[in-house]
Amino acid sequence: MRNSVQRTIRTHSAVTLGLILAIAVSTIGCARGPRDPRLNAGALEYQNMPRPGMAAPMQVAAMPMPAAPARMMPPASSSNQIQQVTHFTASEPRQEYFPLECHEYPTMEVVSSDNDVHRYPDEYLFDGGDRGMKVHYSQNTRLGVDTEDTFAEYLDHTGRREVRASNPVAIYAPRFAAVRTMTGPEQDVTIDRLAMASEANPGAAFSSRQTLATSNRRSKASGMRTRERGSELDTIDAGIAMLSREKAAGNIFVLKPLRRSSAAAGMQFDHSNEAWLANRVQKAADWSLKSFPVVQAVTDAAMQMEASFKPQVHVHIDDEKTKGSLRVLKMVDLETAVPGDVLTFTIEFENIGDKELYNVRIIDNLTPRLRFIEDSAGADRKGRMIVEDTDQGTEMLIFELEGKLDGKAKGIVEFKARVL
Amino acid sequence: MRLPTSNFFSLCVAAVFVLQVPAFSYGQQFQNPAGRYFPLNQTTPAGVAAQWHTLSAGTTIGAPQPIRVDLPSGGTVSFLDHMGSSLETQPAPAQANLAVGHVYRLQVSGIPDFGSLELYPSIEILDQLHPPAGMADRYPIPVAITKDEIEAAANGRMVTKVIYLEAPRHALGAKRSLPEATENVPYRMNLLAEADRLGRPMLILRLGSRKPSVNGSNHGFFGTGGPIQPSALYRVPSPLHTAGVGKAKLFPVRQASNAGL
Repeated sequence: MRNSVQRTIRTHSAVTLGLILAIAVSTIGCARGPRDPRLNAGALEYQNMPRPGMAAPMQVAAMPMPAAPARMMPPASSSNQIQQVTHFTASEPRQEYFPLECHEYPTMEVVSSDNDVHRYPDEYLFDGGDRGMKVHYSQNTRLGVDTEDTFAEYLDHTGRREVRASNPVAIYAPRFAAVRTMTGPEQDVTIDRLAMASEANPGAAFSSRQTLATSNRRSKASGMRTRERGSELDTIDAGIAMLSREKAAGNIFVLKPLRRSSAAAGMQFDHSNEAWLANRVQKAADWSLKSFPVVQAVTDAAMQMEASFKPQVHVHIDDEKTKGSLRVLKMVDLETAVPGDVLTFTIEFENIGDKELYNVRIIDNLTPRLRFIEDSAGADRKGRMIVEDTDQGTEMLIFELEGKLDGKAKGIVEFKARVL
Repeated sequence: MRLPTSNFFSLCVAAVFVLQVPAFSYGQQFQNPAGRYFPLNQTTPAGVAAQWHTLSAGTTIGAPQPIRVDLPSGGTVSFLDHMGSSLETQPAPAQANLAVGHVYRLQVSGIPDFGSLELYPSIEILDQLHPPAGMADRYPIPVAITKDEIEAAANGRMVTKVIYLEAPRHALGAKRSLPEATENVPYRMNLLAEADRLGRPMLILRLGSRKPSVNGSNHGFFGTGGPIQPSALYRVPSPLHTAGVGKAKLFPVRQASNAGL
């Protein structure tokens, strides 16, 4: 019995080994591609290709090869066909080869267009506009101010607060960074302390111990106590809410009076009859309480009305002045820049309405790649300027204009910023 | 010799675990937090990432892209062709037009403080820039080789660096540019995935201590045979630019402090 079991196991192990070998062989075969006999023929042909210093192909073709041609060209095996297949030409390379002697590449001039701004925005530096959530006020709190945003806020003649965004400007200024890794024998090896030194083995003078940062975390994460406390088995056993409900057995006491009353009357009542009787009794009670006689009387009396008319004059004034509105236009002096360049931004604002605007503020939240240059700001109207550091790592420039801005009036604000 | 049955089954089970566990960890490694899968990493043979990138990103393979090589304290940079001959030899910083999708081998020598050290870094160009017409030479991809990288390579270590185009809206506010803007990441991480998370990968620099063989074959060592053409090194002019707009007479605005608000 034991021998037969061992024989069976041995047979199964042999079959398993055979299957693994078969899968491995088939996998290797699949990885090497389909078994086309022409490939083997090509390999033979390649071996027959003349090398520098060897005989010419025609001489190779004239050599007697009785067996090989039958494999290469199945229909027939004539000497011409042998000669034909002897001229082996290598397959076309997958990647086009450009010899260095004749550079046929296109011109080095890379043509750019406005579409490149939209196709490759990561190569540009944007400032202006209203990116992301629109700038708005909610309960006197300004929201939606993102980096790059440039906008103007003001009060119109009715005291209503308005926000108008400018146009964005794009400057070609790509910036690069890098991620790096260094691999080598010293990679990620931390020596805690010198554990041993031996003069007998100068080649292995110390043994290093690698610090494991995760071992402490595992020992601290003892969560078994929490699980034991969290099991509320005692509470469940003590409550036994189901048993309490069964003991109450309210249905039994509700049904007993009904049966008792029906038995005392000597009549048979069901539930619907009782409800009908109760309804009749209730209606009788209502009639006796509410439907008492009501007496109504109407008295007609004479009335006198007096009216007096006074002449009035309605004065209508047509106010054709349109509501004030601000248009903000942002411009920059350079289209391309590199880190270190200084850009001059000009913000032009104009009240395109007829009525005045009050508390006009031009606000520019610079992109993180721009740094405002001190004392470089100017304007053609009186006002003051505030530079705030935001929590986004940017600078916010606020230009506050003095007084009101009349209708059709315009002005400019100018400042310089350095490209980072 | 015949293996005992128990040992054979143990060997089979061990083989299954040995084959499956690395495959599982391999798949987990190259998926960034956004859920994108990156089958390639910095250990992929040179040239594969560039070919895949040109196929997927729509970049024209063979398109010229200026590359500028900076050394910490001077030296000489040679752009080698696929036979190992120097086509462009310039003092650092050196700049040349290389083809996108190709791998090139450089020769760096004459570095001060490093004696007769010669290094042969390779650069694999993944993507290209699209500057305005006539401005291509002004915007090369900078390849800055730092002093610690040279020391590491001289000591037998391998430095792999992926240079990426920074996403402007994810840029940090601090003034940083190459080579300062280089972040060290653990070698287990996928550099291509990390660069893609931060921007657009443009180039892979591999710097080690390997040198071309004198007697043996250097097949593939000198790159994929892309063309090399000279490129004018752009000198940054004086950063004095005047405003072209705003001709109205300006006066400086009174700058207030934050406390005045």
